[in-house]
Amino acid sequence: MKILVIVDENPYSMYVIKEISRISLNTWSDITIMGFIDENEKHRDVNSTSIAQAMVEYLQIFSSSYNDSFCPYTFPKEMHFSSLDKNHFLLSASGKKKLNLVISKNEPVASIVNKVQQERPSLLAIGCDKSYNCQWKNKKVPSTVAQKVSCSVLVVKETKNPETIVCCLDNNHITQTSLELINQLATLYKADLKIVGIAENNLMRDRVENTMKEIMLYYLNQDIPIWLEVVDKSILSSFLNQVAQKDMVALWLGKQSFLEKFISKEKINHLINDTPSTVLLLR
Amino acid sequence: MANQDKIKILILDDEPIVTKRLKSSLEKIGYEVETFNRSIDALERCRKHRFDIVITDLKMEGIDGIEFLTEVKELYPDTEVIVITGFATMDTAKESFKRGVLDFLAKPFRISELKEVLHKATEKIKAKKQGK
Repeated sequence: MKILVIVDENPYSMYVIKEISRISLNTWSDITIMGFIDENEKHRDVNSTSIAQAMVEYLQIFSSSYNDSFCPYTFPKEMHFSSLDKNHFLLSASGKKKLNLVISKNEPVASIVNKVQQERPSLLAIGCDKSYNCQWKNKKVPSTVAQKVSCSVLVVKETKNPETIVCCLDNNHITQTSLELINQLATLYKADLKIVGIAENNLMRDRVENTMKEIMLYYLNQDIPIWLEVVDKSILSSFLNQVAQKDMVALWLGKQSFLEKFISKEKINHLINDTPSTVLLLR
Repeated sequence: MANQDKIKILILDDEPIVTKRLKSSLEKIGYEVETFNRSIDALERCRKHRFDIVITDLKMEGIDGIEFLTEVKELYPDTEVIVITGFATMDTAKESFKRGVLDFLAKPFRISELKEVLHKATEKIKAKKQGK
C-alpha cells in the first residue's frame, strides 16, 4: 500500500502523523510525507524553515513508534533535507519500504493533485481542525484536495479509536480497493463496521438491498460481522451529522458516484471542515 | 521469455477477483502463473511442483497463509514468498518476515507495486541460478 501524507505545522498534522504511524506499523506501507514552505520563508535555507523543523519532529515521532529493531524503514542519523530541484527538497528514511519526506515551494493544492497523479497512492491522508475552518494558509486545503484527487482520502481531526466505521453505500460504485482500505482500518481500530444504504422514498429499496446483500456476502466470506442499516435520503444529512460526532464516516465518492447526487459538495466540505469525526472518502 | 526460462508463480488468495486480476497482469509481462482460491489445493500443488515465487494471502479458511508459507519454505527454501493481506497486523508482518518472506504487501496495492517486488525476486532468483 502506498500512502501520501500532507502536513503543515499545525497540531492536526501531528495527529495525522500519529495515525499514519499506527497504520504503517500494521501495513508496512510505502509512505511519502509532503509539506510546503510558507510564502514568507521561501528565500531561507530549507532546513531552517518552520515546515522542515516540523517534519523532522514528525519523523522522530514516526520512528519512536518502532520501539524494537523490526522496522521496514531506515531512519537517518542526520535529519537534513537535500535539494531535488529548485522547488523540491528530500529527506529519505527508506529501507525495506519507502519513507520519503518532501518539501515543496509550489502552491499546495496543485502540487498535491500532481503528486497523486505521479505516485498513484492508495490513500492520501491529511489533517484538519475539528471544530472550525482549517488553518491551512487561510485556504480550505483538505476539503479542496479531497474533492480534486482521484484516490481515497483520509481526513484526520485528532488521534482516537473510532468504535464504529459507518460506511455510506454507493449503489453504483464499490471498488475492491475501497473494501480493502476499509478492512485495513477496521483491523487497525478493531472497529465495528456499519454499512448504510441510502433509499429515496422507498423507491430504491430493492436496488439498495441488493447491493447490501452483496456486501454482506463479501463480509460473511471474510468471517467479519457487520451491521446493516437503510437510511432515507430525507434524513441523510442529520444522520451524517450525528454519526460525525463520534464514529468514523466513510463515503464512497467515485467519478460516477450515486452518493454525489444525494450529498452535496457543501455537505462533504462541512463533514471535513466542521465535524470532530475522521472522514474517509473512498474511490 | 523462452518457456523453460519463464519464472513460475503460484498465487493463493481466497478472493477470485484478486487472483484473476493478478494472473492476467502478470502473464502479460511474461510470468507463468497458476492461481488457487483454497489453501489446501495450493499446498497439494506445491507438494508436487516447485514454484520460483509464491504470492499468498494470509487470512483464509482452513490452512492459513502463515502455515502455508511455512510449509512452502520448508519444501523449497529458495522459493521467494510474497505476502499480500487485506487484514495486516504488526504480528502478521513480523511473523511473515521471521519465516523468511521476501516482502509484505498490504492491500490495497497497485499492480506496479507488486511488479516492483517481483522484479527484486526475479533478480535474486537469477543471481542464485548463476551461482552468485
